[in-house]
Amino acid sequence: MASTTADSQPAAAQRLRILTDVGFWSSNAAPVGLAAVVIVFSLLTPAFLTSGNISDLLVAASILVVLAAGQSFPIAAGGIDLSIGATMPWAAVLLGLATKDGLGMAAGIVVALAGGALVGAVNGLVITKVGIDDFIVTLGTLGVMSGVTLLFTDGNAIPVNSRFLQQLAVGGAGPIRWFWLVALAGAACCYLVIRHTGYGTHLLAVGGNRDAARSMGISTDAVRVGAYTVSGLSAGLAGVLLVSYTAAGDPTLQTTQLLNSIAAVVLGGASLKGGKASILGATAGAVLLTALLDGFTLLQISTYYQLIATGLVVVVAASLSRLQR
Amino acid sequence: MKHRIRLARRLPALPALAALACIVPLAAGCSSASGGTGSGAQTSVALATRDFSNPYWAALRDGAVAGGKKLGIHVDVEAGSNETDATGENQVIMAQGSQNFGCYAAVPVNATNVITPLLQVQAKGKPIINVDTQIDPTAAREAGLKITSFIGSDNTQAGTIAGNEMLQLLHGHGKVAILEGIPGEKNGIARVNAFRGVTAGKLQVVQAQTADYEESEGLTVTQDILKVHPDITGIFAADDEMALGAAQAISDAGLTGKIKIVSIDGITQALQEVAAGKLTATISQYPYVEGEMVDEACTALADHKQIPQRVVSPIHLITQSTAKQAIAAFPRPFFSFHDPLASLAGGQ
Amino acid sequence: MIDTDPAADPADAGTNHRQLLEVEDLTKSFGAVQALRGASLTCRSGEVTAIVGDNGAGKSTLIKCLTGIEHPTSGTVRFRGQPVSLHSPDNARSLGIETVYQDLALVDDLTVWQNLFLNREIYRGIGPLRLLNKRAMVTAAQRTIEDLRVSVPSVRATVRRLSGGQRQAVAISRAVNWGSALVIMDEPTAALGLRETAAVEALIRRLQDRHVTVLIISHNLEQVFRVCDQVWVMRQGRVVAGMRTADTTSDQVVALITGSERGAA
Repeated sequence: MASTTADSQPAAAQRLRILTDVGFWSSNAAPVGLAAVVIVFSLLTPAFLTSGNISDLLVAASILVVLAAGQSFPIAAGGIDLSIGATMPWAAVLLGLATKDGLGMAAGIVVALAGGALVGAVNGLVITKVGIDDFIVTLGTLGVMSGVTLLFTDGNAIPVNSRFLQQLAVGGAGPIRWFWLVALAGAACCYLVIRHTGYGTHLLAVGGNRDAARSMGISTDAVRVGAYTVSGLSAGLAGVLLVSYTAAGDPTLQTTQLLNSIAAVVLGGASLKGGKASILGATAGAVLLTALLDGFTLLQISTYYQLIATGLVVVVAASLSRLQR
Repeated sequence: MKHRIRLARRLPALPALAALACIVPLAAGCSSASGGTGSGAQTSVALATRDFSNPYWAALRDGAVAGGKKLGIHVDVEAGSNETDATGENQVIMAQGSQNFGCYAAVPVNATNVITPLLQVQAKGKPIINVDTQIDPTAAREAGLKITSFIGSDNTQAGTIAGNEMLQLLHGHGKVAILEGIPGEKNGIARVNAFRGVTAGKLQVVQAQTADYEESEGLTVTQDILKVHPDITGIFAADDEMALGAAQAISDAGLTGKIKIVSIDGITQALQEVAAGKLTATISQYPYVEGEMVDEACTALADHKQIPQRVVSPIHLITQSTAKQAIAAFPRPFFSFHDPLASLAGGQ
Repeated sequence: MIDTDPAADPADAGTNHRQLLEVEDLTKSFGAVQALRGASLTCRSGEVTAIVGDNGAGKSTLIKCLTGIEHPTSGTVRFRGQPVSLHSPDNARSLGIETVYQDLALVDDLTVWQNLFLNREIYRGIGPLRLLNKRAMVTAAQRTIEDLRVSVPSVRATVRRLSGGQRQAVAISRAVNWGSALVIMDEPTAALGLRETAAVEALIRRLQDRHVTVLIISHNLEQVFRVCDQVWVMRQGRVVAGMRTADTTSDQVVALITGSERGAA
């Protein structure tokens, strides 16, 4: 006989009780935190809640949104991708070199995306076939790709002058900017894959209980290679956005973006142990981290406080996640 | 039911804590200035640079802030988080751009990164000042960005002075090593090229290696160079931070005075080391003055005056004999120099 | 009376009961260690059969050979009278053999219905663009749970929030859902309290009504006598005896397990 929970309290009180559930806060830390930050900053300065500033804020968050969406996959699989800090400039440089050699923007973008995906696939293969820890392998790739990119460019940024990319960065339909539409589209694709495809479920299974997944006949190796390929691909897209934003294929290592991508994923409710993913949460986390920076800039508060605030936010979110277990 | 932990009393505190965390620093630290006396026109300045951890940019900020106080205008200086944080800097420029400053100035991270956000500033009809490191003129032109003026020191000249000083110190011959800046960074490239140009044929450059404008890296790279080339008599570093590291390596090896170290920037620590004899010489650039000049330029522009397209800020060779003077006057120059903007700003 | 010849089954003669599973002289060595030294047993279709024995007797190894995780060094396995080679878990699964492992192989952060359909998801659309048909899976899961009268708060609940007994029930339901012929369970109630053990045993008896054949490894002799029709005793890599539970007593079984009675070894 299937049991049901007796409904002794009225529905509204039942709904309010959810606010005392740590699980609710943990899974929703990012959107709630974002709302709190928006409210606080709006109260502190009229410059925050203007369509211009929100628009700019979303543009500034776009690259991180893409990286966080991609990073969700390896983390969900129980691993992590530390190499995206180098894969992103690698893709940016590929785009720069391709357009410099007259290949055309479309081909250049394809090369950049493919270059990113390739690095991801190699990560996945080494991790699964050779059997070394994800952390170590992607850390190694971070160094290798950084060096390779610097070699390809002799350390110099490759200026990329493209009306298309410029329009991508500053143009849009009214207040809706192409830049963050592209980022949102990328995040939406990731959302679709995780929530509505068999692969998505298998990914969560592999991260949640790898032995169980294997017992049920899931090819855990294929799933993990796929996860790293996705994060590599997203780093490729982020590289294209980076070129658009800074008008150059810059080979410099992007460690801040890498760390923020991990922070955003954790803020979004995913555990670093694997088995959970929330693209919505990671996106909200990315926007939250960017909003902190933006608000503090508008308030002309020293960067040092920004660093402290960002660190505190991440620790609070991680604590909520820990409390839930 | 064991997963539902009653936090009803604790949870509402969290958003309050977050709000507090934002308000407290607001009360504690604002780095801008406003009000004051001055007969210059009223305007406001938004200045963006790479980061504040490099004392060079910290001096730029201090000069801009002090200049703002003197002229009675509001100055906001923001930065990214490190020497290569192109996206962080872009973000602060966009944030400044969405507010209504009268005048915008920026030190780019690389040759092109600030072009895109500055286009938006230009769209609002605001003047744009390029500070210290030049934005790639071709890229700017192709993007349609018009720079009102460039204020900076002449890095090529600085490199030339450094080269000449090294020639003099080594009596025209000898083996030297070069510590280069972050690969691709324009000013470092200009300084090194000028040094090489002046010393070509006379001094032999046995090794040139980047130390990324970092003191610790300068230390380790110099140690490695000394192992391979123990017979060098001079080191040229593209900035003071690296030179300080090199000086430490030389000192550890007991070779202070035997190997001459010349660098460029003029930060306080370097001046002190020159006074102490651990650094041989540095070419002092005055980012503090660059900062003041930005304020002067913006004030002049608000007065509808024309300013020169290129304003050169002063530089000077600092050796042990002039080091103490330089330290005393720091961060301002201890010598008089020509400031074409001072009169235009109308009030000092 | 103790039936000392595991292969001969007098009840077979003249009835419709077929031996679903016949294991003959299975041996398995891991290097120098001989885990199985010629084990033989049979499972009658539609019955609950138990394997008992002390630690190290070879029960787990035998089960692993049946589920395709290990390959026997020698011996034959016949399924429905035909010799089969169980070289992989997928292979075993395709024959209709499902296993419920001791660790249950459930993913805690997925829901009941997601676990039930893990790697056998129902899709809408075709090719690489096919999407999950969640509604169909939820409905089917609800039906399975109701059919088996398993008590869970909802098929949409995550497995993490279920009690030990509920998790066991979900794992068994999954095996039964896909395992059309034989369901193997390794210590199904080892970690459960009295009430939940009773619920799981009731579920196992319900499987009998659906003509699912069940093979259990159990340490719990009382459970064996409550639930099973046939019991095989293993000792030191061999099956030393096989009896109908109706024809023997707990004491006799214990003696066979410890070796104070020799059996057919």
